[in-house]
Amino acid sequence: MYIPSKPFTCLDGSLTIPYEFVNDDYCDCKDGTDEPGTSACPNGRFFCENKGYVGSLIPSHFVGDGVCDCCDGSDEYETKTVCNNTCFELAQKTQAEREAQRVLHEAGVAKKKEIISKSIAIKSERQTHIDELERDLQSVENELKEKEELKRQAEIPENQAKEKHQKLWDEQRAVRETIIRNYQIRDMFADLDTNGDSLVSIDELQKHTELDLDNENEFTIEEVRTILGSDSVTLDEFNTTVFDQISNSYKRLPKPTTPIPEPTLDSIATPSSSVETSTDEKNMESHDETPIATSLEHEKHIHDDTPPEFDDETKQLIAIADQTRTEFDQVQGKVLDIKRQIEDLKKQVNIDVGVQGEYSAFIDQCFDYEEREYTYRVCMFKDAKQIPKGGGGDVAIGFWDAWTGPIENKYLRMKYVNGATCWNGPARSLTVTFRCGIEHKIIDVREPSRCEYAMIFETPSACDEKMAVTSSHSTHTEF
Amino acid sequence: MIRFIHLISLILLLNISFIENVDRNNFKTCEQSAFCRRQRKYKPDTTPYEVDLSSMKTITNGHLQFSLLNTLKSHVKLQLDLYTLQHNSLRVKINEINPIRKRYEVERVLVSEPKLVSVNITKSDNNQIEGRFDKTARFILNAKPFRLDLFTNDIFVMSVNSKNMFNFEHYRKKPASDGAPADNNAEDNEDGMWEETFKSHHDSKPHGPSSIGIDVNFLNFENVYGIPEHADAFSLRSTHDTDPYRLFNLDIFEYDIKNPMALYGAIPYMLAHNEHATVGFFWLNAAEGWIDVSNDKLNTKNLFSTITSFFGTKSNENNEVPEVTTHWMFESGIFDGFFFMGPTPNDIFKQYTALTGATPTPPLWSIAYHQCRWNYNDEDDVRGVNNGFEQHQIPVDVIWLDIEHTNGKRYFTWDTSKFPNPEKMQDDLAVYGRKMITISDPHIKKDDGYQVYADAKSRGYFVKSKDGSDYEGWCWPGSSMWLDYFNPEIYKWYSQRYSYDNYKGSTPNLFIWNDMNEPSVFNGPEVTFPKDVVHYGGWENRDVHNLYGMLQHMATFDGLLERSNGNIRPFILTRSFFAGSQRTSAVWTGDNAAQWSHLKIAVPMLLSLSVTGIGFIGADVGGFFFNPDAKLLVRWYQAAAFQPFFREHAHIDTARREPWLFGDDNTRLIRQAIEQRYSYLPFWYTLFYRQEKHGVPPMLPLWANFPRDTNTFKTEDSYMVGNGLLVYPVTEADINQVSVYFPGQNTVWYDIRTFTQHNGSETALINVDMESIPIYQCGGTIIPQRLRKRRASMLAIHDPITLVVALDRNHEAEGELYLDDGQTYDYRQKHAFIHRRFTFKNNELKSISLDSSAKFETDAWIERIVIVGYPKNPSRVEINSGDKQAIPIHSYQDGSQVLIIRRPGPAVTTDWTLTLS
Repeated sequence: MYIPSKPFTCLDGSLTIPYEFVNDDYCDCKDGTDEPGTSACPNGRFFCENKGYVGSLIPSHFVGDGVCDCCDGSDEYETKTVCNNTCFELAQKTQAEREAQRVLHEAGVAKKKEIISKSIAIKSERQTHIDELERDLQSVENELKEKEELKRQAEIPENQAKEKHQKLWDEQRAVRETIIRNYQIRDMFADLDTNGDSLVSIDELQKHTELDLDNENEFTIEEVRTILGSDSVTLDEFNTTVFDQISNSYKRLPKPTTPIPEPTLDSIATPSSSVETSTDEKNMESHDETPIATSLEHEKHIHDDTPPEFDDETKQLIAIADQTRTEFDQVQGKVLDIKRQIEDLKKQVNIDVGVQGEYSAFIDQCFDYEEREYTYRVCMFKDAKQIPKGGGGDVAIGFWDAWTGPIENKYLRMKYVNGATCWNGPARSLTVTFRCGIEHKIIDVREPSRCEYAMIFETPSACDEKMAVTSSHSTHTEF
Repeated sequence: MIRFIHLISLILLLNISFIENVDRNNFKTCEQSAFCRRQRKYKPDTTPYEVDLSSMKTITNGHLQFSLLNTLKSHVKLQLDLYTLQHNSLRVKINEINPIRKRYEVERVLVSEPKLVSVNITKSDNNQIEGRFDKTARFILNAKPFRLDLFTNDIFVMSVNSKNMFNFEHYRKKPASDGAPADNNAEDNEDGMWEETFKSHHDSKPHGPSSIGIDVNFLNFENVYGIPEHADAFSLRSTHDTDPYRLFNLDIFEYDIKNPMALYGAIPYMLAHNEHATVGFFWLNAAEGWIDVSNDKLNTKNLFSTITSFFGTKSNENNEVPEVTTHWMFESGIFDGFFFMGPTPNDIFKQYTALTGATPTPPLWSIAYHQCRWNYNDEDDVRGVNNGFEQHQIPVDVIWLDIEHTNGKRYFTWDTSKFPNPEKMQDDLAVYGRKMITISDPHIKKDDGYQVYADAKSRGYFVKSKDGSDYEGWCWPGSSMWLDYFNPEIYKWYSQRYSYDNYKGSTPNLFIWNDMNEPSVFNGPEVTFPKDVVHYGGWENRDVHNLYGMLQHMATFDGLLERSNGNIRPFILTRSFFAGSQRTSAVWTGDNAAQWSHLKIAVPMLLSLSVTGIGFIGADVGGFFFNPDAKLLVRWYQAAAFQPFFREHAHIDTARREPWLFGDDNTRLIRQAIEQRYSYLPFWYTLFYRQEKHGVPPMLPLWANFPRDTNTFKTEDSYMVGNGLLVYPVTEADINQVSVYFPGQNTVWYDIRTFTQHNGSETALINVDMESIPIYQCGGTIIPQRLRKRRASMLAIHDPITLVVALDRNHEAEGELYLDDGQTYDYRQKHAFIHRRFTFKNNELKSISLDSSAKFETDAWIERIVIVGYPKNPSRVEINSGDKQAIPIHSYQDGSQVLIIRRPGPAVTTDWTLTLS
């Protein structure tokens, strides 16, 4: 490349210059290649020979800047800066560090292998377990189908009996409501019919000013007539046209006369008033001989509005159906339980625990780091928390997201995101960076940016087989 | 750098309720400031003030004294002193004669007692005194009514009290409590004269009203500038529909742009510029001030029929000329007005800085790139950031530490768990030629175990409440007190805190940042001192408020200077400032936001500071609050790379934003911008030296170089760096074209990257992409550059120089280069510098020394000369230096007319001539 007496062509081919222009402290080539030994080009490269250590290329703007960048000091050869030659020490130090790293990785890799082999075993165990469970699931699901059929069959007569019971009860309630209404009508009519002529007239109703809906003026005759529809009404007419209009507003006038006694069932069942001739009444009475009368003896049923007990036959049908239901539910519970177990196992199987499963030991594991103010806890593949030592609630600093290491090895970093949101800031997040160590251990937790946490985690899982191999190669070959 | 998260939690914890929200309601409007309310409505048809010409006394030649009377208040006697000063400047003082309380006269601002020049009284009759002085200045003092008219080159430029708004509130006895006025004058008991309450804060006003209002009017001007600090337009806007511009140093949280609210610093100095003259008015007053600005028309026929010719232009058909009327109102002190008569922009810069001082040449590294963040957390973090710059090959000179580096916000201490070995950390940076800057705020934590507090407390060094006890307020450390720098003894004691002995862990590579020095008091009225706190000499904060921050950073400067026995130039960055701050400190525009509008407003804000003497200025790159996206950050780097102070800074709640965190492409763009800054450092440094010598700031409005180009008078989208570079920063997100106006008639401008030519007086549409920083070198200038890259500026001081010679239409150009060791005072004490002039004329480029006594040893040489706009390829290039001659190789590009001389070779210290033929 750099041949004296021959013109030099920039390595990018952009220009050819006389050889004297090479390293003449003036930048001619756009790519900086004509000045490998000076600082003239902003983008040039200077080669430090670094005898006894490793030769290296440094940016040529480091040349002659008063900072010793090459261990042999060759970058400051022309300046007043005195650089000690540190290549030998550096080589020793590098060698020692490399050896220490090698030892560390060697020990780490051994543990890592254990984890991996365990991982394989665990993985196959898990698979076996899943297979078993899936077989179980099959048979239990068949059983469930049988139970479901039994349940269905038992529920048919049960429902029929229940429906019948319900129907009777509905009818009975309808009768009861009619009785009460009729009583109220008769009572109201009697109350209104102050002269006892079996007619309610305008003047009788007019006393009930509470029925005047527009409170502006008096309760006029016209208004009363509008309600009655004529000058006076009989009980029947009152029942069909008037009662519904006034029943909500109507109030009993204070009377010096003896209060009307509360109706009793007997008085309803054996009406004695003059309106007993009404057809409704007769219809109702005609039912008196029916089984409803039996039910009516249970007063509380009417008052509580509660259906009466099922008859024994129905009760028995229900008991049979209940039995089939219980059995069905039990089997269904079994199915769900097996499914959940399968799902959990599959979830574990599906966690990305490294190419060889080297991070499998992390599954369901939590690790703590004690700092001045907080304990940091990361539960692997789940979440991370900051726990204040001085009391106060835990703060979620993230939930498991993904492996986020470099392309060469994404398993060197993992991320937890969407933690509790900071005031005026982002949602908290945590990046865990792994490096080789003998045991699983958090080394450091920091917050380099507000609410973005960074954890350094040592683990055998991050140890590198290549680093563990004794390097017989000269360090030079790596450059 | 206010942090309301912490503040709010503090308030909640301590159950103090003083701030409901952090909005405009925390700060007074004119209507809420009683004296402003009174003064603003004072607009009589005639002025009651008259000068008693019979009282005229000549104290010395250049100093005339008069009585000034209020015809409505015969008992109030004022004295008017008129001083004709060097540099075409006039000083007018108005004070009470025998007041019941002495009025405060501002100290520590003027560099020395201004030098008088003799006045030639050219007219004196029973109503007017006319005097001429210095080069072009003339005044006419009109007695009845009191008015002062000012002329430069016989052009009528300024008029004082021509709108009758002079209104001097004399000190008076407090009316009896039954309401009967002591002076039998109802005016003595106006609303707000004797006390006022803002929010929950009561101002006791023990001395009553003392404000002064006056109108100063700029005739035939349409544009006025200055009176920083406001986040507003460069050419000041009419305040007709807004509050007046306010001058009151305050810590405003998340400030809004385009409004006249007060910010962190105050300079009561206004300039006016038109195509005939540049003039200025400076009222030396440190109290709260408000200034109304109004663009009016003045009918010259009725008022000035005899002097219309003095406007320099004819009035229009209606006999009207434009006029900017301004109404100045200060709460206390005296009227101490300086009128600068220009008439050129450079004259104005000289005139103002002759009085208040110019920014001395800063250390070279301080005009390079600074990396800051609230906060770099610990020593590892600092090392990591430094390594990041190394790894990504991005130059940087300084790494900063914000408040979290201290032990609980006790300044002059370190959080030793995070910074166990600060000396080593600084030494490690120093290996790369890099410095460190730590923050040191004025609030002193109230803690008997804190040495600084305990000493100051026992010596009685803290500012006092109105009842005489030590004033206590809240700031970052919690309960705090503030040193009374007004007392020379305390000032000195504070400066001594910066000695290596007192500031443990500091090294010669550590410099200082003074923040929160308005001062910011979280629970004080408007987040600052109550006005009735008492300083040394019995002065109320009301009288001296705007000086407080400056005194702190001046004392800091003295401390750093003494630390090196006067050998090393200090560097201080301050947020609060006043007239004169430029002598000791750089200034930044405080807590801006990561918004495009804030990137854009930085230019007018910096220009307003520049023209009022504060030349070493910058805005936080990226915006302090919130997170910039990559595009905004890149654009901000590109803009700030061509602004005087270049620092990235970010709030603690923001995401990390070191230059390499936005992907390779953006890293490259940011690197390029920073590298460009470094390549122009020789030019910047020369401009800073020029500022020290002549008061001309490095960043300039276009009109400073093209004073007759009326198209530039409102320009704030572009600016000049020196007289050489026109900078048009891209300040909009999605834009692929900008419209650049090239100022000056018959000028030519060269794109600094492509050397494409543009004609002056024309607007060009320029295509931009993310690489683009539209910058143009003015034809006729020679700019020195260092095109070699270095990781820090101090490592490059002996590197060779490239000269870029941009020819004008006559194929001429000139420029200068100033060089020294970049950090000591040897340039002053030992003349250890190089100052050269380069001129290109008649095909010859010459380098001559501008100071034959100057001597600085350096290996630096001229490695490249780029001549742009050269019409043809010369057949021969020859360089002569002494008896040596050389024929360097050259290359020529026809299309762009660029001639590059390869390795011309002379040492920068020598005289030489390059001849083209």
